[in-house]
Formats: sequence, C-alpha cells, structure tokens
Amino acid sequence: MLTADVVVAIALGYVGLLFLLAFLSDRWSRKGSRWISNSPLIYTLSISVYCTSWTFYGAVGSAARNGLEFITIYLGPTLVFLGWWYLLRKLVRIGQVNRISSIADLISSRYGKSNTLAVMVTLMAVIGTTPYIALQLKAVTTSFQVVSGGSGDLLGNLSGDGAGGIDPALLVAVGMALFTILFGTRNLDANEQHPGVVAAIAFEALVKMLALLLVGLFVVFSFGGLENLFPEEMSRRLLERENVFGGRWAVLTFLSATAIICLPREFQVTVVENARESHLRTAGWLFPAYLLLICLFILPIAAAGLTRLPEGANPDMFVLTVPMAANQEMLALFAFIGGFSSATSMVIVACIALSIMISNHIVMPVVLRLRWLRLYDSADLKTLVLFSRRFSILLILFLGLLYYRLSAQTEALASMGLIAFAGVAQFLPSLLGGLYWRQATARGAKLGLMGGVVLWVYTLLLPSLAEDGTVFGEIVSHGLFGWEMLRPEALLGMTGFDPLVHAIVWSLTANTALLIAGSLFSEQAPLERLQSALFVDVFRNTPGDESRALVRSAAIDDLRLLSRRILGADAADRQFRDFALRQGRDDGVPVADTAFITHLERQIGGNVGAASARVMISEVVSGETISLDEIIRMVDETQQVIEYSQALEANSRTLEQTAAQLRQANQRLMRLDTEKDDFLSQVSHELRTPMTSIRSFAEALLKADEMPPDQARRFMRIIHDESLRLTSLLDDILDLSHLESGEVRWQVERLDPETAAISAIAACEGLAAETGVRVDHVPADTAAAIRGNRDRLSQILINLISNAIKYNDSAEPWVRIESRVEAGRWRVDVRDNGPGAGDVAPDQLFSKFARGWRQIAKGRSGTGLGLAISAEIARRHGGDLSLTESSEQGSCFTLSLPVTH
Amino acid sequence: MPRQKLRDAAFILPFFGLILIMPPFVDIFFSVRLLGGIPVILLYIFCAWTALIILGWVLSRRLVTDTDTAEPRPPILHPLPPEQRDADG
Repeated sequence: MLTADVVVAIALGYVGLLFLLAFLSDRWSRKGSRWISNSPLIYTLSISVYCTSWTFYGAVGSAARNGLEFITIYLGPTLVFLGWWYLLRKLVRIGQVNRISSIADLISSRYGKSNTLAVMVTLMAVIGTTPYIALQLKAVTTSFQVVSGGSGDLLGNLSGDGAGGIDPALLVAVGMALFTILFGTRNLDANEQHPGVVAAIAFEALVKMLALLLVGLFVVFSFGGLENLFPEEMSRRLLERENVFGGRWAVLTFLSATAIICLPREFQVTVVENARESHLRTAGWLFPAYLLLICLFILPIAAAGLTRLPEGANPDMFVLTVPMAANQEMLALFAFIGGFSSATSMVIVACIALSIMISNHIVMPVVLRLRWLRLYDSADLKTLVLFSRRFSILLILFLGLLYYRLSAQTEALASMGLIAFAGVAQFLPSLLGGLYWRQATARGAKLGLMGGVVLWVYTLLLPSLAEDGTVFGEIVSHGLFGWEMLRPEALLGMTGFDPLVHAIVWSLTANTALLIAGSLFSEQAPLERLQSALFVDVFRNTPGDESRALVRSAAIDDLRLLSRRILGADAADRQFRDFALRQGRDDGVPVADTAFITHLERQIGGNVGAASARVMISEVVSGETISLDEIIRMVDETQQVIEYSQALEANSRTLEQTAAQLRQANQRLMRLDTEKDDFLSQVSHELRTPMTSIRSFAEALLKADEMPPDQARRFMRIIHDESLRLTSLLDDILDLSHLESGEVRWQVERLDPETAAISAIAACEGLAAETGVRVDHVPADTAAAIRGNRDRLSQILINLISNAIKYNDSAEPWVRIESRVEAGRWRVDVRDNGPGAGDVAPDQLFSKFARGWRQIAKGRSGTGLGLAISAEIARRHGGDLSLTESSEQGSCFTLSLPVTH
Repeated sequence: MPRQKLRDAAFILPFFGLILIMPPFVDIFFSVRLLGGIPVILLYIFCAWTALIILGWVLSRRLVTDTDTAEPRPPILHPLPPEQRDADG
C-alpha cells in the first residue's frame, strides 16, 4: 500500500520538476532561444489544458453514469479546431494585431474599448472559474485520499488528514500560487506570453495523456482483450439509454464547442500565448487527435470499474481504483500524477488568465481614477500592475479554496463543469457578433451579456445551489414570488426538458436576441465604429489604416514618460528607438504622429488592456478627432478591394481558359503545317514522276531522227498516258480543294442509296472481270431514303470497290458490298480479302496530308487522294467513312449516311 | 485544387463533421451489438472522428495563408525623404 508520505513526496518531486522545467524554459527563451514559441507541437499540447481533472476523472464517471454522453465534451472542440481557418485564425490574427490580453480585453476592444463590458466579462469569468478551480482542488484531495488509502470511504471525508493534518487542497493551492506568481507574473511582457508556463503545461499534457492511455491499456490487457471487457451485456448497460442523441447530445456538443473558444484559460493558451498564426495549422488536426486519444479508453475503464469494483464504488475515481484493485500501485500512482497534472495545469492557466483580466479591467481603472496616482506622479505603474496580478492570483486561489471548503456536498464532478461551461458560453454572442457583424454595438453587447448571465444564474446556478427548505429551494420548486410560471427549471411553463438544455436555450436565446435588438436600436460611437471596422475586416485592412481615421497628437516627452512607467525604461526606450528608425530618423526620437501614438497605445494595451491604455493615452493626447468619413471610406475601400479581387479572379480564370484554347489551336496549326509540308513534297514528287518520264520520252523523240515508227508511237503513247495521269492527279487535287473549301455545289435529291451502290458495282464490273475478282452485293432488307447526290455517292463507292479489287492479291479474291439500315443510318460495308491497310492509323488514312498516304499510294496507280476525297464527300452528306476492320485477312470500309424520313 | 475551393472545403469540414455526429445520421449506427469486441456505435464515432482528423490534416497542409507566403506587411509609415528631413532639422 502506498503511504501518504510516499505520495506526497512523489507529488512534491513532480512539482519540483515542473518548476525546473518552467525555470529552464523561461531562461532559454530569455536568452533568445525560440524553440518553445516555434513549436506547433508545444502550442497544441498547451491547448489541451482543456482536459482538466474533470476530464481525467470525470469522463470515466460520466461514462459510467450516462454512457456515450461524455464524448460530446470532446466532439465540440474537435469541430471548432477543424474549422480553424475561419474562426480561430481570425481570433488569433485580431489578438496579434491588437495585442489582446484576454477575452475581456477582446470584447471590450471591439465595442469601443468599453471598460464596462470588460468588467462584466471579467466578473462573469471569475464567477464561472472559481467553482472550477474548487473542483480541481477537490479532485486532487479526493484522488490523494484514494491513492494513499487515507480514508476507506472514497468521498465522505474531505478534510484530508493524510498529510499530517494539512488539507492537500491547501498545499496544492499554495504550490500553484507560488508557481503562477513565479512564472506567470515574472515580468510584464508586451505580448502576455509566458514560455515557462507554456512549456510546463505542455509537459503536463503529455503526462496526463500517457497516464490515461496506460490505465486504458492495462485494463484491456488485464481482461484479456476487448471481448471479455465488453460483453454485450456490458455494452448494453453502458450505452443503451433512452434518447441518447437527443437535445442534450446536441446542446452538450454546442456547449463544449463554445467553451473551447470562450473559457478564459482556453483563450489564454489559444490566442494570447500564440506565437505564430501558422501553429493553428498543426493544432487544427493535432488537437482533435489528442482529444481522440484521451477518449479512447474512457469506456473500457468505466466497464472495468463496473465489473471489478463493488457496487457503489465512486465511478469518478475509477481511473485510480481500477488499477489499485488489481494491486498495480505504480500504475495507480502514475494515474494520480496524471490527474494531478490535469488539475494543476488548469489552475495555473486559469489563474494567469483571470489575474490579467482582474488587474487590467478592475484594478487599473480604479487606479487611474485616483488622483494621487495620476500620470505626472512618479509612481511606477509597472510594479503596480505586477503587484495587482500577484494579488489577483492569491485572491482567485483563495476564492477557489473557500468555495471548495463551503461546498462540501458530494456532487458529481461533471455537473459543476457544465454549469461553468454554460456561464462562459454567454460570451459567445458578443464575441461572434463582434467578429462578423459590423453593426453590433456596445449597448447591444452589454444588454445581451447582462440578460444571458441573469438567466444563467436563475435557471442553472440557482437550482444547483438550492437545498430544500431554503429560500432558493422555495424558488426552485414554486417559482419566484410563488409564480409557477417563473420556476427556474420550467420558465414560462417550458417543461419536459433537461435542466441544462432548458437553461442554455433560454439564456443564449435571450442573450443573442438582446444583442441584436440592442444593436439595431442604438448607434455606434465613432471609436466603436473604427474598432468594428478593424476587427471585422482584420484580414483585409492594411496595418496603420486606423491612423488615418484617428487623428491626434501629443508631446513626445509625455509619451515617453507614460510608456516608461508602464513598459519599463528599457522596453519603452527600445520602442521609441525602433519606431524612430522606421520613420527614417536617426536621432532616436520618433515624431509623435498618429501612427506612433496608435502603436504605443497598443503596446501599453498589451500590458494593461485596451480600455485602460486608452484612458492613459487620452491623458497625454491633445486634439483627438475621429474622422467618420475616413472610417466609412476604410470600410468602402475594403469592400472595393473584395470586389476588385473577385473580379480579378474571375478575369484570370477566363484568361487561363483562353490561353489553354490558344495552346490547343497552336498545336493543331503546327500539326497541320507539318502535314501540309508533307503533302506538298509528296505532290511535287507525284507530279515530278510523270513529268520526268514525259520529258525524257519527248527528248528521245526529238533527238532520234530515225526512230522506227512503232517505237515512236509507243513513246508517244507513254507520253499520252503519263499526261493523262498528271491531269487526273491535278483534277483530284482541284476536286479535293474545292470540296474542302465548300466551293463545289451539287444537286441534292431524295434518293435510294441502294441505287448508288448498284451503279457503282456496275461501273466496276469491267475491272472485276479483268482481274478475276468476285463481287457480291447484299442489299439492305428495308429500303431507305437519303438526301444527297447520286453521282457523288457512287464516286465514293466506286473508289472503295475499285481499291478493293485492285489491291486484292489473294488466291481467290472477292469483294462483298453489304448494306443495312440501323439506328436511323444507312450503312454499307465494302469488305475484301486483300492484304489490309497495313499499320496506318485510321485517321491518317483519310487525310490528304498524312504520311500514311505515301505508304498506301506506294506502287499503286491512281493518285491516292481517292480516300481523302471520298471522306470529304461523306462528310458533306452528313455521314462518315471509316475503316472498321483491317488485318492481313482483309479489310472493311464502312460508309454511313443519315436516313431522311 | 484551386485556393478558393480549398477554403470552401475548410469551411464545410466542421459542418460535415456536425452532420456525421448528429441525428439522424448517428442514429443509423446506434447499436450496442459488438463488432470485433467493440460496440458498433463506438466504432462508428471513432471512425468518423479519425476520418475528420485525416481530412483536417490533408486540408491544413494545402491551405495557404498570406502570412505563409509573404512577410508580414510593415505598418504604413511615411518616412520623409532625407533632404526634407535635413531641411526640417
């Protein structure tokens, strides 16, 4: 059995490790090493501060009680991170551009740097976070008791006496306060970034995930595989609930999605501690993957707890008690450290986030109002800010401890977490409205927030605190003033809903409706309008835009004094020097123009919040004017840029298409050009052959005086034949060129194509008889009519048939002409058993320019243009001519023509 | 894929995920029967989840932000040309 001393020693050792890690990381980054801020992995791990002990212990408890429902808490954030490109990226960009220090700062900045809004958000955040911190303390105490066997009863005795009479919660609170003050408020950083803290919580994220995975793997293996762990009966017991995917499923998913944006600690790690926008690219899928790993073994652990542990064991502690029941003490200890990690990391980050909010939005405004602390006094505001941060941290932890002590009721961990989620969800309408709706006003945001919070308190917080017999209990059961209509869990008679669904629906609907109505019926102040333009169009504005709209001037010495007091002398002087360089001045003194004042206000705002920074700057600034015309012009220009870029995009798409078409056309032209060259050289060659023979025979006739008459006659016949061939070649070329240019007009009539076939066969009979080729004609069964020119059609068929006869060199040569009517076309096949067309590509066969032409025409009489002419005639008839078969056993040309009706 | 289409896909992805895990789709797979030792509904949710993560990973590698391609734009300042500065000084 682990003793309390051992557990305390190990926990202390672990905390020591955290301190060391944070200290080293802080030192490295101070020395300029950037590996923490450069690592998207560390960024992602730090976001998992989302998984607190409410996840670590509570998820298994929730799974054992409510089955699948626990998973919604992780599905919501998954969806938000998958959509990082739209929401989170905008948040991070706005945060970086405007040096936003907290969610209260963001909302207040957007609505004209309103301090009222900042205070409202801060108070709400404190109210929502305190119970949550209490929850972590309670989890640490309870788990400590369980793992050290401090008390047999797992839940009853909360005033732990294991560590020598000191409550572990107190120890944890003190330890965390020390850690947070040391590493969270070490100095005022212009970006509110704390590399030491981030490194420590990233480490803790790994520890808690490993612990859960190890317990899960142990459970699966100790049961000998999933089959034994999850018999169908267990699956039924865990998962089969009435209406699992009902309203509660949807609302919980929505709530968790909201929480990952609105929880102050999540805003701190996701937006404020973000060093590079591009880290979101990794977090967008890696954080969902982390959540998936966390959820992987929750149900198996719950199943193991229900099977192995006695009836009535607290399911919230299954992560510890399951390994302990199997006497795996080291595993239980590791699980305890995992739970401890998840609790401490939440406490640390929540304290930092809240302390920034409290000091910036509650302490600073008060300080600024006090006469004796005003600007021209010598008080060092930087120290004051740091002091107020430290004090806030102590205050928050004290509140958490107090809440934990007072709420001794043994409530399930899960419901407390959900109430907190619902509380911070009230920020959502103002936040989203501020990011995407230009017209949202501060009045609307205030009304919405107020209404939402009031309803949240009334419908959710009040019933959770109420006990029977008290005033609260009376209200919950009978309504305010005894009006049944006002019962907190059935407002206006809305019954039959889960209390959480009921509360969320009421509070968020009222919140949103008030935001919209309030914005519609109120006007934006000039500064508000400027800020709304800056936030909504953050991706389109050029930095420095606002200095056009916001014109002011100040004495440079006043500015220097002010910034030295907030930023510290060194940092302030650096800002002045850098900006002077950017302005192109080498004396180190910048001109106090609008751009510089705006820049300085942002730097100061990064430390004390936008609202306080504005108050401070206003003290030293004179003649501030906000030009509405400029704001309107800014918004218009943005609009124009959008339209222009859309038009540009459309234009470039058309250009791309045109370019592609031109490229194709160019290729076609080049191909045609080569083909034409081929043709010309071929034609020249073809013309040259007969010309040469004519010339040589003519020369022979001229030279030889005494040639025997029969020889002279033979020569003259050759000359005659050759000139005939020449003429027919020229005729063909002319014919083809006329056909192609469309100059030839012929008489078109309605005719039976079979008659053209018959006359073509008749024309070839003589040739067939001469060469001994059998010609068969198989006419179509049905008569068809086409529109065309009989002579031209016969020309095609004569050409095909005579070619088939002429080149047929088989032993028993035959040619078969077979026609048929199908699918609205008249087709005729001219088939032979000759040598085929060789390996010429079919489309080249019919081209007058093709290289194939040469091969076909080789050694043949005729011009070789016949097929090109035939194909052209067929095309002009709306039909086509193709080579449908070609092999060494024969070939088949098919002519197909459309039938008319 | 062109940039705009990638952005549209990035916009659709979470809604696609929402459809996968909300009724009526999730109801189709609601069964406590076991498949390889795992309840069918659990298998479905984890598979859908994994698929979403993979899609998110693929998209995140292709989406290009303006900060990735260009240096952050410096604030617009209007430095005086040197001769004018001298005249001022």
